[in-house]
Amino acid sequence: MLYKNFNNVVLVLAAGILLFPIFVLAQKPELKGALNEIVKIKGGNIETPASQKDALKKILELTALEIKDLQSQLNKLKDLSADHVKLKNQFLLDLENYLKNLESFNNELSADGAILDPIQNLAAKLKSWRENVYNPAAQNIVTFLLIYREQTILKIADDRYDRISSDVKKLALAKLFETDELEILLNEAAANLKAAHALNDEAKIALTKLLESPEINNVQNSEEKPQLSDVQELVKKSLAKIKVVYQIFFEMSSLVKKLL
Amino acid sequence: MEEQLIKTLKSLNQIEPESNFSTLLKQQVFAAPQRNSRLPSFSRWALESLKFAGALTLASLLIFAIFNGLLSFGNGVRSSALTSLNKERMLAEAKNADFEINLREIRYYEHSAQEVAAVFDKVLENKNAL
Repeated sequence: MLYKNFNNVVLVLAAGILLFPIFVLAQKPELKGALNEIVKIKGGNIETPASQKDALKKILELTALEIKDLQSQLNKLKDLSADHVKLKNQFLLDLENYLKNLESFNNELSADGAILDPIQNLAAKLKSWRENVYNPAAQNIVTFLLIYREQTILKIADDRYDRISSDVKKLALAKLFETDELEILLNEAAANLKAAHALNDEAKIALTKLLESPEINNVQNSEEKPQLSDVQELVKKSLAKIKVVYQIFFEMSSLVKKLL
Repeated sequence: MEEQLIKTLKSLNQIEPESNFSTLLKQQVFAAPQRNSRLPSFSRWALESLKFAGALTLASLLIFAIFNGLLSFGNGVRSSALTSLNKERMLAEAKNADFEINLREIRYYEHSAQEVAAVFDKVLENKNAL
């Protein structure tokens, strides 16, 4: 009995850890490794042309890895709406162009006899390209990926909900015990799941609005355009709702074990 | 006296029923439900007992099946509910869904941009110092 209770406590704690934010950064080993190199360079001495050349080389390598990672993730996306298929293809095209840009930066960097000033000019060009072209695009793509990955999570949660709902109906029919409390929790889960779907849909619409080509938008409605952070916030809220749904499922699980 | 009695008895031997009565009686006999009178009474009793025992067995089997069915339905519902609400499975599912990995990805790109910008600044610092 004591062991059983302990087991339940461990499971609930594990669920809690899993369902609440864990602040871990880079997720892929190769990206993590490349970023760690940059962090090391930042902390070291980069006064000589050779060390500066090496720093730029490492930045180009990291950027290439990030682009390839984004391409691979975009290619894995399924069940996209027609609008978003177009968007995905546009993103893939942009990423392909960014790889070409990197190739050209690499060629400039590898040119023999590079002296300090050209390297620093190249650093300024590369910095500007990353800040004005690459970084905003990467954030847009990551948000786009986030919306569709969350859709997959929603499908898993929907499926779990359907199975639990069907079993609660069977339990009510079998009259093994009172199922009122379970039904209340199930309704609560349904409401949160519905809200999570609505927030995901809202995020999709907001991202589409955000990425609409500037020519289509006049000055008046540009004020109504959502910010990328708004879209990310919507997805975060939606994910939070799914976490609540799973917490309710865990509660129901404990309740059924107690009642059976 | 004795001879007189024998004579009377012999005359009684010649008594016959009326022809109408005999026809009516035959009709009634044939109309009555027929019984298998070929089997001796013990066999009939044994057959009846066998029939009763069979009916009783069938009824018991039926009751057992219904009871068992209800019981296994209850068990089925129990185990089904335990499967759909299995904590370990839900935990694995939540882990696969990985609620945080997506948010971490946004943070990764933000972090990467900051670190790279810091390196650029350091490289460009030297240009300004020159």
